[in-house]
Amino acid sequence: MAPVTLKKLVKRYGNVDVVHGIDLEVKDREFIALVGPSGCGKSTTLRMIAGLEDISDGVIEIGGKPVNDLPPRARNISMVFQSYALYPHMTVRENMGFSLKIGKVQQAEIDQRVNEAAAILDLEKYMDRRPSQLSGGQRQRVAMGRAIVRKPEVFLFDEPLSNLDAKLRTQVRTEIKRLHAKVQATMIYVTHDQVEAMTLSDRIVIMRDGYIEQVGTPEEVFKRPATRFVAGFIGSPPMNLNEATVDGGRLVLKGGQSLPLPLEFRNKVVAGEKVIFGLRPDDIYPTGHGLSSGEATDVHELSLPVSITEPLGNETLVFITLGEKEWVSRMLNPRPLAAGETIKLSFDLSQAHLFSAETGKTLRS
Amino acid sequence: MKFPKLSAPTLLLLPAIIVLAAVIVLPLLFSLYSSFTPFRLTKPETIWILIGFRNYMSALTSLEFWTAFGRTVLLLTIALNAEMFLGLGLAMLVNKATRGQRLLRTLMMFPMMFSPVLVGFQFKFLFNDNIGFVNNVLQSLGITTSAIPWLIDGNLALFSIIVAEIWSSTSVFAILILAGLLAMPQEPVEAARVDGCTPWQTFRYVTWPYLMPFAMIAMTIRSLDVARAYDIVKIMTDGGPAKRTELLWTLVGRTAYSDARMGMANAMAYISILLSILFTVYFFRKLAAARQQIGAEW
Amino acid sequence: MDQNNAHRLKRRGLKVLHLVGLFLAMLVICLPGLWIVLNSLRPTVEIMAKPPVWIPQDISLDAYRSMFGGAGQGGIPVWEYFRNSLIISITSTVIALIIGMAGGYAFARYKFKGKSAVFLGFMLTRAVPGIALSLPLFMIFARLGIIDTHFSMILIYVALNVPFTIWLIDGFFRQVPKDLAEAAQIDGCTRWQAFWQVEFPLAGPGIASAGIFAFLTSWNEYALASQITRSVNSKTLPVGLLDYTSEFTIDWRGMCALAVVMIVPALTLTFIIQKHLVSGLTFGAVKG
Repeated sequence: MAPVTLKKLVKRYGNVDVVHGIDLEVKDREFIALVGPSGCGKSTTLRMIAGLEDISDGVIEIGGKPVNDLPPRARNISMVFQSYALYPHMTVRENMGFSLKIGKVQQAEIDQRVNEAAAILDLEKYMDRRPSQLSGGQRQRVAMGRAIVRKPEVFLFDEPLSNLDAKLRTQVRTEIKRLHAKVQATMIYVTHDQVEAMTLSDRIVIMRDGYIEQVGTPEEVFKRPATRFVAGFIGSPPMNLNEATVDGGRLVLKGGQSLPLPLEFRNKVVAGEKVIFGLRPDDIYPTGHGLSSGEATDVHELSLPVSITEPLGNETLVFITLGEKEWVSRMLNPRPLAAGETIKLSFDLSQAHLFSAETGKTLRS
Repeated sequence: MKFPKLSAPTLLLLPAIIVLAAVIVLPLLFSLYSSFTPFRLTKPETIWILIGFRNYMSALTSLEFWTAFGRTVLLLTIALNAEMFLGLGLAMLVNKATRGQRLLRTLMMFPMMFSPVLVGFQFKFLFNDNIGFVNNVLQSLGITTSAIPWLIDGNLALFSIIVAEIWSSTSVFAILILAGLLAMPQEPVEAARVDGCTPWQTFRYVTWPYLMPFAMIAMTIRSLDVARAYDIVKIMTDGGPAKRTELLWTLVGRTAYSDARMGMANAMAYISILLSILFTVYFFRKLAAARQQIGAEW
Repeated sequence: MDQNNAHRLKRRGLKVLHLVGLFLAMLVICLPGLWIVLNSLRPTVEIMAKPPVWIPQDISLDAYRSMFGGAGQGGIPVWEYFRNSLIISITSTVIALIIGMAGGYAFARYKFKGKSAVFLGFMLTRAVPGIALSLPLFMIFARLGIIDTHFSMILIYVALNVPFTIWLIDGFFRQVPKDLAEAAQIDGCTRWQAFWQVEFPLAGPGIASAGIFAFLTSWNEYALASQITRSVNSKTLPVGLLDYTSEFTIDWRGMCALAVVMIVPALTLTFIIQKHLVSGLTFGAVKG
């Protein structure tokens, strides 16, 4: 049983706080992803959990016990590094067995556990090679193997896929997911890639500038982003976000054009309030080419000229200009469109998001 | 955690600090003190007499000192520039070689490993007016009929010393600049060529800026060790003929050990130490600047 | 077409020029050494001959034989000098390496206040000219009565070698990714174990070259040794070389033979370390 709990965790370099007292509870056997742009404090947080960075303030508990002053080796964790950090002077077998050797485990048991891990990761053929003789993907698997062999209570991953090419990345992603199902340990996974976070984790922690913006399941953070930042960070292509001013029942965009105020927000804003209006590309579609998402209760239609299109085969991204800003819309079952052609676009305002322009927080309560 | 007062790096650096303090800093403080006394080895009690800046005054007003000082600066200026230039040339020659690079690199490094004493002796032999290699060659080829007095004429002797100095230290520059050439990414050079740069322009605007930090490391290493010229001069001419090759360091040695005027020698030594330190600090600064430039550009 | 031809000719010309330049440069580098080796093998008569004898007529190892054959010709105790040089160089190298490893590790792995100032300070101690340093050391050591002992020379050479050893070892440790030591700690090592199991083996070849470099510095040093050593008790080879010079005559052949004895270990060791040495010196330049 190893839940991981962070309480008011602070990391300070000199006078600069890079992690501002964050709270987080990772349940036992949960797969949680820390995601955010570079410099958001996610790696620092992970390294504090690992014991590689000192904790400036606050408490980290693993399995219910504070571990603040424990060295890494006493925390019963293992970690997969971005660079893999394989020992160049050891063979794959020695790399994987190193932690057990240090822990004075019997040789027979070391062999058994190493072979077990090798079988899981399909590494049997390479056991006597050195890391330099392996491809990037193989090294990655050795790094995971080294982590598995320890049978830790908590696995930590520090951007383990960022050094792989795109194809390998999806492949290893699936492997990690399978691994989690198999080893049943708590996993904390740091990445800057929201797709990785969405596909792998039970819950996602979105961080920015040393604060946690939102914690939630992939569906929650996608469907109900708590802040404007989360709305822009999760989803690809990103959500259309535009400044607007509330004017009676309408949202006036910059440049004078306007859209009706989404029904859901009628009672949550006041006239004259500055807001950020957000709508995902999926929810703006050339009429008749959208998701038939049940009863569209709050659809608004506009005729607009197409500025550019990006055909992707099964769908086409259509770029249009509205209120001085470029908007992306997603066209399913696409038909060819010419630039400049005026088309009818449906705005599904039931899916719209409004954020306070001042605080960036959602206005949905 | 068990040593709340001493952090890990302090503990690790402590042995180095102790040794350097004991063997270098303390003796230097002592020599600083004695430079304010008329101390003579033959009269130990003179160590207790303080005479203020008199040693410094007489050093700074003596023609002998300033001649040696000027000659040292001249020698270093010529030698260091020539070493940098020749080292660059040598590095580019070796870098262009398509075969046997490893062997060439090793050969290139040899002079650096020669004891300066050996270098001095070697060139004393080569430049010997009677049986030296240089005169033998010149005479055999009929270029000159009389023996050229390489180490006996004052100007020629200084020239010979500079040659020896350059021979022994060019490799420091060559090796480090070559390391820079080998580490250099090829894309910028290729881009420059495609952009229409002549080979000279490519070198001037792309290659050389990249090599700068490497040349600066070499300069820094050299500046730490400029005084090795003492050994060479000591062997080749010992400051002669008629003090025409006297450098700051040989003058210090002579004043201290032959004339036994320790206090005076320490005063002059201190001036030479300050010179070395200024030199080193200057190149460390340059090195840091060059490093930053590289960091920004590549 | 013509333009092509012209460029091809030019390229060929440059290639010839390059080879000629390379040959000349290597000649200048190698010739002095070869000249010394050659002259250590021929009798003094031939060295002194006028007109010069270009093709050696009478090659022999006499000089080496008499040098190592006890106090034979000239009575210069080369064996003792050789032994002194070895003892002093090896001992001081080992100690400098231990101190340098601790210091280099501190610079490579820790952040602390005034790091670059401390580093510069260390280097500045190296910048003190040997002859200037010899004055106070001579006075102090004479007072302590340790002039002309192995101990005094070892002490001096340790101090002389520590700064540079730190510079080199710092470079080698920085080439070992920090991740590796961290991974080892997560794998259950203490910091001490992580160092010996992972970082030390990886930096090993570099540390060895730093050692060889330190050894050569001690092996070759003259300015300090010439003042602090007095007799066969502690005289090293570079100082011993001067035994062959008397006021008016020089035993050229004997000196050449002793020079060869000094060069051979130096060159052999250089050959072994050349690759590592450069990487240790330059690592900081590209990576800061």
